[in-house]
Amino acid sequence: MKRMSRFILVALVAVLALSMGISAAAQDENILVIGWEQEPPLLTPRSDLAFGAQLQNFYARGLWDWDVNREIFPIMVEEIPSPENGMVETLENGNTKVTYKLREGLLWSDGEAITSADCAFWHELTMDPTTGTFQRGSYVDVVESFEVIDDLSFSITYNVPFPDYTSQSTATCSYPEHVLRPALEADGTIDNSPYFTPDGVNAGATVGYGPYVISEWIVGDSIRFEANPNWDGQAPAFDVVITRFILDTAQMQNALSAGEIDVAFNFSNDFVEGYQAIDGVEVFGTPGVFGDALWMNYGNNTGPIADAMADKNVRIALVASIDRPTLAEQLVGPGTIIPKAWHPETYWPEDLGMIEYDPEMAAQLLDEAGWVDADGDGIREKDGVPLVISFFTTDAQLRGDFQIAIQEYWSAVGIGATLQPVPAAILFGSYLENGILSTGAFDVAIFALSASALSPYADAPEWFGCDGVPTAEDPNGSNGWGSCSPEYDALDLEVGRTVDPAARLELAQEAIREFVDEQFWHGLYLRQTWYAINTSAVDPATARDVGTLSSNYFNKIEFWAPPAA
Amino acid sequence: MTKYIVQRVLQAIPLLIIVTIVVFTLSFAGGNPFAYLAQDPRATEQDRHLLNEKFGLNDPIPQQFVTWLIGDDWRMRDLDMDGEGETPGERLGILRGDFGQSISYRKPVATVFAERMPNTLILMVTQYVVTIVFALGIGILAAIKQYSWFDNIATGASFILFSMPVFLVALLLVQVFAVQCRELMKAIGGDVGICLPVQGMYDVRGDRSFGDLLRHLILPVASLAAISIAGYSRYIRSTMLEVINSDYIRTARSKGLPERRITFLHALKNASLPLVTIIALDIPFLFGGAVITETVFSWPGMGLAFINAVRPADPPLLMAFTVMTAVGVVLFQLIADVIYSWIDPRIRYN
Amino acid sequence: MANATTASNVVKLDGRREKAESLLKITVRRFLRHRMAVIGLVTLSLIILFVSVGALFFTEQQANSTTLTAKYTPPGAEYPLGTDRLGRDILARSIYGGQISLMIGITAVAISITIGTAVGLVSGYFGGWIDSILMRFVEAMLAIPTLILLIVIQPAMIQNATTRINILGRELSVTVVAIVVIIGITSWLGLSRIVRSMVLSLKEQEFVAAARMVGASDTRIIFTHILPNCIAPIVVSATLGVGSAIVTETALGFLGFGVQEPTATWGNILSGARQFVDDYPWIWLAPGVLITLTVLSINFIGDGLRDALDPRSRQ
Repeated sequence: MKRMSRFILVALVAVLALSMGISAAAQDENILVIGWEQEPPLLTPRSDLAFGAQLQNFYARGLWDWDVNREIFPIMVEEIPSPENGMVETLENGNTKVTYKLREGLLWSDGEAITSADCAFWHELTMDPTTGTFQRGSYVDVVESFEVIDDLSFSITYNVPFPDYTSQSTATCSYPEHVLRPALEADGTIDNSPYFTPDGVNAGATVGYGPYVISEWIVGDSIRFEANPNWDGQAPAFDVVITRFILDTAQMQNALSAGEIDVAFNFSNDFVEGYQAIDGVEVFGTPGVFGDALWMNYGNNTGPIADAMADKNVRIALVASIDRPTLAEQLVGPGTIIPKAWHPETYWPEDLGMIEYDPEMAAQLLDEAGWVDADGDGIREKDGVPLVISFFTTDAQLRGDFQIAIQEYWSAVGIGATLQPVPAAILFGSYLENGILSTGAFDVAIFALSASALSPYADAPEWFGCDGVPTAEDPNGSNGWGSCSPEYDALDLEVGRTVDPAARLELAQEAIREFVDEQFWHGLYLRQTWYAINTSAVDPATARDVGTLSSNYFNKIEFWAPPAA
Repeated sequence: MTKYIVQRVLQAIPLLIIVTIVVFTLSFAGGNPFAYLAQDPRATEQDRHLLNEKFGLNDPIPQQFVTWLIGDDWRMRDLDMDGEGETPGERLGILRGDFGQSISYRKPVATVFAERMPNTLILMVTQYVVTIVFALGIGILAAIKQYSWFDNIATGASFILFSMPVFLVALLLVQVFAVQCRELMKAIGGDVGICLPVQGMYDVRGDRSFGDLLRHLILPVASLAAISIAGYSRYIRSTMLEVINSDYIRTARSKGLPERRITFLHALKNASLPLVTIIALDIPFLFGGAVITETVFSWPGMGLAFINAVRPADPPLLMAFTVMTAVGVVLFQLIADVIYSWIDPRIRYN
Repeated sequence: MANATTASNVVKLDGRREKAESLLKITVRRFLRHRMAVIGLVTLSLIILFVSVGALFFTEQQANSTTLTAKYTPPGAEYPLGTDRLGRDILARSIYGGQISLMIGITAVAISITIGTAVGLVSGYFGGWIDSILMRFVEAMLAIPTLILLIVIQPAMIQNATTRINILGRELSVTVVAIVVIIGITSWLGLSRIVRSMVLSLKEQEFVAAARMVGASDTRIIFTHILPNCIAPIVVSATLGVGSAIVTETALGFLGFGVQEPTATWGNILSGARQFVDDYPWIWLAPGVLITLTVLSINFIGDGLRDALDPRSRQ
């Protein structure tokens, strides 16, 4: 027995002694470590995770981007195409043609020149779905042709009038033809190209145009970026940026507190106080693009209270009985914005209203609609059918919290609810997989369907149009809530085809009014994107230069700098 | 015995077939892996369809099972969705050593395993060795000194740990030995170097040395082992008590054999039947990693891959886990049975 | 060595037969002499009182009701155990959560002891094809991941989410019941292997052969000679089983497969605290202490039971 305890003791001491022996290697380099909550399996665009696209900010910049104020600025092009500079033309048939001009002297990180051929190559890949599995969006449908003008100039002709030429279905020049073409020729697809894989990254196959070069990928651990010698923009102040994968939210905070990372971002509001409490850490938030809303199924409802859901006054009562500002403040945080419409705020009409918290009005509307609590069980009914909402959301905690709190508000005005938190894959499953939304098997659901932060066009026929309701014959629609407003559909189509900004704004405002008037979509919150920064590693004044779209949080990383000594 | 072993191996074949069919069928319950694209306005229905086609998810489930088993390299697949096959299948099937492409990782299952298995083994084998050593020591000591203060403390501590979820043990350990430790050291001007790391396998700024790995191992191993030791030591203590109180030990003692020899030679061997059983039950699951501990410590192991395999559905990855576990279970149960008859030669199987 | 065992068991067998009527009395007397066992029994009774009588002071609706302005309130006059992230009363949640957690623990242990012991006894004692079939089934169950079972039932649960099942006067959704059952039906596998290994060894020992020689039936041999000698690992497995079942539910909650809020369990109250272990310790302290006390007291009861039932004990 004694021998065993002695052995254990010796082993313990040995382990401790060995581990004490190492000390952080002295570094001459300036290293910035960013905590990253999710590791993409592959690089973008083969990975569709937002956190994959975020990584591109370091090693592969686009033609242009939007800054913290959502103002567009050029990166690879000389100037942003616009009707004013003549680079956006409306052809005789009314369709749009956009000319792009790359800046002179752009180099890939391996020293090769960036030319129109690279952009043409990506066009070629996008047009043929067999060349690789990545999202193509509507590019294939709206782009008619791609013409190379010279080494640095090219143009895209759309087959429609196309006002969203800066934000959707644009040209892409972020991927080098000379690396990807051999893979395409060997396999008929770029899917097997090392460009996207950890092994490829480590072999130097991932060349791009950005302030950094992606230089090492240790799967499950971190990705290392080193300053790109061929980058002609602002020279980055940090020689090395490392993104460290930390999956647990509480541990992310612990890691920042212990100095293992210098930056944490995209944490929920609940953590703001905790981060602020850490010595030498500064926290700031920027307007976000992620938010949830209540979606009410009024046109695709087969449940017992389909009639109630189809009644606009009942839908108004459902939302008027909820104190949304209090919910947003308590569950998300002070100063949280409650969006009035699904579309980007810049297009909302100034007088756009929002249903206020008014439980008395809600009760009155329900009474008038014939939903009264006759049997005294606390839940209203009509013709013997109780008003019990089948209330879905995904298993994300914040949504669950909203669900629980909303159930209580409803209960106060005599509305019952069965809470059904389900996995996202079941909520969003397709019609053929019995997805909850697609089959309309819900009354109300909380989830986010992110609108573009830049375009007022909603692609209504698919998402909100009368024809978008999935059925056995046509299972491909996405409009599981069955919204159907021919006026809105028509307006939205016009918004999508009106190039003139002023005319477009006016149409969009009218469309949004029409949309809001259906009273089936009610915003709950739009959450800020939070950053926490260790001020001994980064000068917080430089770090406030960030992007505010869903995938460009680090689009000014080259301006981030250590504090002045 | 040889005949029995052969018989068991033959029995394993139908077992594996049934288990794989059952799990394969069930694996689709996790929902379509590309369902989330429905939230993303940038993705079209065609993108989703194409991704499903690429991973063979548009085929009927029985056909997918056949593809998983024996491959599809003899037929053409329709990747451009014109209703006509034009791309030759590339899968060889598990019987020819091809575990397929993981959907969640978008790379071969074999690669996912190769990347993660070593990390998991480092963590799990270490924690297992620590568990067995400590559990043996504590269990035996607690049995010899039944109802002593050592036994009572060991019992109390075992059950406190055993009633705590591993994430709580882990986060509390991190709080004390990593976070609070640093604050204390800063306050008293001590060396923060003695505080343990919060997460990860290596320090990203460090040299990735063996010593660095050891430092990072301490907390995850402690969290896992604390709970396992609690359970194992209970089994060891109780069986030891049983044997110590048994008549033949009393007899041996009355014959005047020295105490230590009695305990170790006679008692331990007989006590080991339940112990061999639980070890054989646990070992096959070591390879699958520890989902929660790996999540808390961001340890890039198999457990994280497993959770990605179940939801949303990633049948090839989940099936690889299932085959690995099933083979492990079959193998280690057989080994356990062989060891039983070695410990107690009277045990016969017929 | 073998002779000693055989002799003592025959003697014991005879002795037992003579005192058959008073066996229960002897057991109770021996149990009551075990001080820690009595303390355990009292503590467990108090916990059961807490979750049952406590429910008279709070309705389940109160346990689930949120007060957003009072979130993360430390323990005090208004909330004796504080509140959680939605301002829910942790005392009330611990009461209603305890009902489910105890149900999970007790169901798992009941299934584990009955099925696990029975399968182990039958498999080990009869051997041959019975052993093969039962053990291959156990191996198959071990190889099928529990999480997959939970995922499989999910779509079915959604269809039936409004169905409520009444258990001991409390309405529970089918999902909760399904989680209890799944934790239960996967909890007996280990015990069956342990019992089998003991039986394999025991059945070859001389006292069993002797009993067989004097014409004892299989049932009699199993219950009077073999089962009593397997009590120790069964008791350990059962006492550990209660704790591990309750904790399993917590772990499932961590992975998003546990009992969903608003229904409370000790496990999901604990999980709710995981992001703020340091800042709001009262959220995990109450359920943590309750789980520990439950597991500890069941363990001491188990110790007492084992001593009281031990065929070799002569006191």
